[in-house]
Amino acid sequence: MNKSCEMYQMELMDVHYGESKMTGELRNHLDICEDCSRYWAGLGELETSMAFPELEDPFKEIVLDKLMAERDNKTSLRRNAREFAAFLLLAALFLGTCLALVFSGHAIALSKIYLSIFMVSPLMLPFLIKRQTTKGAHTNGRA
Amino acid sequence: MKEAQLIKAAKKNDPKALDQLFRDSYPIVYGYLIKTTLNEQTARDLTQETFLKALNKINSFNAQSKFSTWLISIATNLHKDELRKRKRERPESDNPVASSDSNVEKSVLEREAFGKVSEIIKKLPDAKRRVFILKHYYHYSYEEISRIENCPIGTVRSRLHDCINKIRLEMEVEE
Repeated sequence: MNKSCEMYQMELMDVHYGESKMTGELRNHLDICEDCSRYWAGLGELETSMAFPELEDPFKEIVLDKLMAERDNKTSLRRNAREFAAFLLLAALFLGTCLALVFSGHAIALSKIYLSIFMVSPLMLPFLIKRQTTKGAHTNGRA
Repeated sequence: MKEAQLIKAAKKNDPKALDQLFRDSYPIVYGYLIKTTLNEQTARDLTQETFLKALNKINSFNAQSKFSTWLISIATNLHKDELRKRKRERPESDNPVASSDSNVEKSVLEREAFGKVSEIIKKLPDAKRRVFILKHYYHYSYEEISRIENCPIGTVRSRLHDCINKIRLEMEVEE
């Protein structure tokens, strides 16, 4: 096989795999060159001799389930990060407002509001519990 | 739903779209990797890694190629990494991934009566084998293979030509 045959064979390979079209020059060469015509026939035989059936992975579902779990984990991590960022923002806003009120001379009023919240909230707890139980009983009765 | 729509939805974190995309592409990626590695367990591990990487980088997929082509590129890079890793661990082995003869590999690759083909494929060097598999079994164009393999088209052609010659030689020897 000479150098030009190697070149022709690469062109034949291109034709076989649909990368280029058969030319007259190639056809003429095939008529006179035994090596290249054997190569050309061999390319055709590769299709059957190198057939490799597609294998189905028996563990496909397990792998996919793992991937989907990973995706869910990733989504929940993202959601947690978003919620944490929102919490930080709200906390900063709240603290900022408090500080602004303190520095603008409303510290006493702010303290009063704070104290009343801390004192009133526990007092309201029994009412809240009662309301919740009544609501629960009402819903159960309807069901 | 079309692939482009599925990708768009998957980028917006739609779980159904992502599931559909992965289900559709699984046989291609697994099939490519089992031919490349000739080892069921390695193929499964690399398939999982490929999809995991795709999951994390889906937003960087620019849809200039098919989704499966993008996955094959990821799988190819992971296979190259795996070979490098194994070569570092076992430098005496020339073709560590493909030559591994685990029981799992034997169970399927021999049972399925294409042992002869896998034997021939196993003898091809890794980079050339990947080119042959991409062209012969998956019909990717030279341009796509050159992008997947990150090498010039001329190299793709010569690797494929080398593979064909080696395969023909092996076939002649067996006859």
